[in-house]
Amino acid sequence: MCGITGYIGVGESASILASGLKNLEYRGYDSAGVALVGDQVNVHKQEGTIDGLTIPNETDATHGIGHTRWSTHGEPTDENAHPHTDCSGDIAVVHNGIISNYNELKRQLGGHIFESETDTEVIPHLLEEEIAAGADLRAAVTRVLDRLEGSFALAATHVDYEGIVAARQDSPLVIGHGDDGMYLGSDVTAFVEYTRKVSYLEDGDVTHLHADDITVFNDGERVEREVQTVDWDAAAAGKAGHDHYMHKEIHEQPNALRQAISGRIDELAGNASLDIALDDRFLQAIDEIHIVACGTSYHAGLYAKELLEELVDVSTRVDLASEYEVRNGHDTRRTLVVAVTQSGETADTLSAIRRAKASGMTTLAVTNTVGSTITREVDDTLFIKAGPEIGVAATKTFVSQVTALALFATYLGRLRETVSACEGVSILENVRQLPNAVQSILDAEGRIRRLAKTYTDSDAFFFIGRGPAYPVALESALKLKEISYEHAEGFAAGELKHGPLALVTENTPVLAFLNQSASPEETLNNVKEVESRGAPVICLSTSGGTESFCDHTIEIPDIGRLEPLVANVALQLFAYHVADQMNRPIDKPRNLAKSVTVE
Amino acid sequence: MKAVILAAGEGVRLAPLTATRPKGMLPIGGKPLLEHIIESVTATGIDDIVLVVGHKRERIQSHFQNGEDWDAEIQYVVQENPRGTGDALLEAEHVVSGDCIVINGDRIVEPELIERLIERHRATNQACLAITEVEDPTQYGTVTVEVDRVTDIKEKPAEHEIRSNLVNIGVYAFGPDIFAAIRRTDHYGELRLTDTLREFIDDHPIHAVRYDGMWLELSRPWDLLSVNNGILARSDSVVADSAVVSEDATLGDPVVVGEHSRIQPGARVFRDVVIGDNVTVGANAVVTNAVVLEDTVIKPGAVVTDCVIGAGSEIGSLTAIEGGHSDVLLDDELYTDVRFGGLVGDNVEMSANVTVEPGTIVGNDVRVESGSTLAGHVPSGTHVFRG
Repeated sequence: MCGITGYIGVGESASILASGLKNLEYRGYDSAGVALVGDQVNVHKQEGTIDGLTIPNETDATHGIGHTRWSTHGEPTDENAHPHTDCSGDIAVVHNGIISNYNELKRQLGGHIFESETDTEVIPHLLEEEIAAGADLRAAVTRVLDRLEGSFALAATHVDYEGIVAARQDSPLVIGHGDDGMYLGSDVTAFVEYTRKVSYLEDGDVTHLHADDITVFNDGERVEREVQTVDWDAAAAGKAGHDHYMHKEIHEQPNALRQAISGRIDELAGNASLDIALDDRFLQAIDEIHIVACGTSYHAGLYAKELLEELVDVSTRVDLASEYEVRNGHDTRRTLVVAVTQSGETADTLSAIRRAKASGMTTLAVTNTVGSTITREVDDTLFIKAGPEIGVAATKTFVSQVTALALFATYLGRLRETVSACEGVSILENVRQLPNAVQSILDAEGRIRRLAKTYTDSDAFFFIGRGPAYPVALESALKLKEISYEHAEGFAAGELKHGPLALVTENTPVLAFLNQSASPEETLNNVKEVESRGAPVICLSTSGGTESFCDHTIEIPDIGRLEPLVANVALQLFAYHVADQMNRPIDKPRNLAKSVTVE
Repeated sequence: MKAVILAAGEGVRLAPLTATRPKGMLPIGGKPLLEHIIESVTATGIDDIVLVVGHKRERIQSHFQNGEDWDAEIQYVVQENPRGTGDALLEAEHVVSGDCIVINGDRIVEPELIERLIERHRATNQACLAITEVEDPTQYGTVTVEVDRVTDIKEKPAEHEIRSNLVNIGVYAFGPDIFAAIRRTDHYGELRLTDTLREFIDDHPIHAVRYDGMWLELSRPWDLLSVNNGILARSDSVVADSAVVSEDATLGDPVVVGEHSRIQPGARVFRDVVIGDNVTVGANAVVTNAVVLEDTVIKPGAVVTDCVIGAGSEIGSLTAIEGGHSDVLLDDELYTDVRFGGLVGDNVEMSANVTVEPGTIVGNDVRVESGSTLAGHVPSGTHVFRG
């Protein structure tokens, strides 16, 4: 691992490069060096630590590049230290990574004089040939890149060329946009004391740093790389080594689920042991359930409706809390209103529950937060026991909400005698398997990350599902749009042909839930509809990779009614990695807050 | 002083369990191996811990978080590819300023050893290395010592090369000069810490700290049983508060029953058994000398002996893992007469009446039809029919 720095601007190049090298020292420091470019190119480099390197203050230098090295090709010596130059000494290059075909390139460069044993040194000589043939530095770098094999990041200067040219191929490179010039670094630490406005280069990018701006090209096309502000104070400490809270929370789900179901499964009786204080006779008599919730909790409510209507034989409606109105036609004494809210403070949901109470209905809260406002306003509370969630994008709380509601549905079903002990055992067995099923999805993260990488640049993402997978499709789309800012929609699988199919193109991947719990054959027909329009299809299925019209299959453990819930975890990871590829501020998406306490 | 624990390795000899989890997360006496190491470290008063993680690191991070539960501050450093213990330590350089204790993440030692290393390091301000005497040093790094100074280190010596029965335990105290020494080390492929130390001796003294206390190392599947038994022998049985044990079940001693697990009526859990979280032991099942990982179900009437069972698996009714001794071929090496009833991976679905012969290693995600007999190695993902 090596570190690269660069600077162009009105500041003092020598000292800025030196401080950048010092900051990158952790990337290796068996030798270091800089090239300062003014009327001529002056290279100062030597073996040893950065502190041992003296860089004279060259006031006429307008820009420069620096390097701190950890040897891969060639010993740490003065000659092998970067920057490397061509035969004329007009071109200087620093490089991080490995050029795997440098031996072959070196042979092709007969006549050039090499001073080091490094793979890097072929680059300035290749540039020299291109520039001699009439190319400018940027064009020369672009052409030379075509001949280099390996993974690397590099930066180059030429005495007669205004600015620095840098390129990235599989090794990191970041640009800092300062008030007094532009900075280049292997990572943000190189220049974070000068500026926090950064843009991240992507693989294949060639960028030209001017004193006041950058231009970026990829595959010959001019491209824009978003300028972001890095929040360096964000307490990385709380993330236990994860890059984001969201990633940490995704990985906490197996344990959170074990907590959530602990002591709540009575497999001998085939019943859920829930501490429900509501009167049994009331629960036996209810003929309607209203679920009110917002956002992710609303999707958990939709999932619960599927379970409640099937298992409890009671009419269930799910309302967005902000839209919930109690109109005529309800027997309010025989209606249970269930409010689902992670925080217990969601203003829309609190307001809905107050309207329900005012009309005489009995209320139950399903929440994660002991002592929250809603627990004081409702008749009874069922806690989801997921533990604290910090990432704005709800992950483990969604899974825990659905799990708690599935246990509630089992409990109600046993109470109302619509679920037999035998059926109860089989539902609870699925609940019991949930933590391990989620873990097996997490174990496949590498594959999901590669899929996300493949489709990051898509125009839009569509999620389709049927039955309990429909709310999960909505939830998966919400997750992706929240954190990646990309266009994503969830549709009921059968609804696609009634309109949304018009949006489907070959650049809009469709993620389809082929859950066994709701007519997978019919969903498969919907998949064929999109496949014939050329859209890439990612299937989530228990049957393995046998579907020929799926471009990719993510295998989901077969755990009955809860299968879509496990599939949701795969798509949490998908959304996370799409957003991560795009360098989004995943834990703090723009314009969003964790719990919304205004209506 | 900080402690650096090297926990990035893949532990390939413990496959298939290490395909989905790092070696350090394998359970020893009801908690992960790494937790024992961390507790030994914190018992010496060190609360600044650096974990070098890599393979399946999320499992480690989810368990230890930032160390609050151990009154420690845990920092994570990632070694992306397994490139040896020297390289792993180098990854920790930017968070370790000054002296450090370094511990290989696959062995349990007592706090006393770490204290003695710290003492010796304070007194000499030079590198220190812990050694112990073993009968057969061929599997370890042997250390030649003259008057408490290390004069040579040899990795896995052949019989005729053995000049000492003293071996390197893999616990060290270093000053900051170790990092430069690692960078200078010539190496092909992996950069091992011992390669550095062998060269280091030429111009720096290394002090040997002799240790005769408990030292448990985990490298082959049956070690998981013996290491567990070693730890269980030193502690009382533990049944988690959240576990549900039927009044009609028998719990022997020593045993560990994890959180949220259920032991059904008539089940007999005899000695030397470690049961993980959310495990079900069915009615009339008999479990002896076994390690059962989380979320697994042992169905009614199954007999499980001398074996390790992965997570999320199902051992069918009346299935017999009878246990006993056998010869096991592992990594092209034949181990004879090992007491090892078998290893079953994660997410294995075994139907009723399966017979598992001693020494069998069943991969992950294997499905076994009822009435089958398993022996030798069953690769991951296989579907076994009754033949």
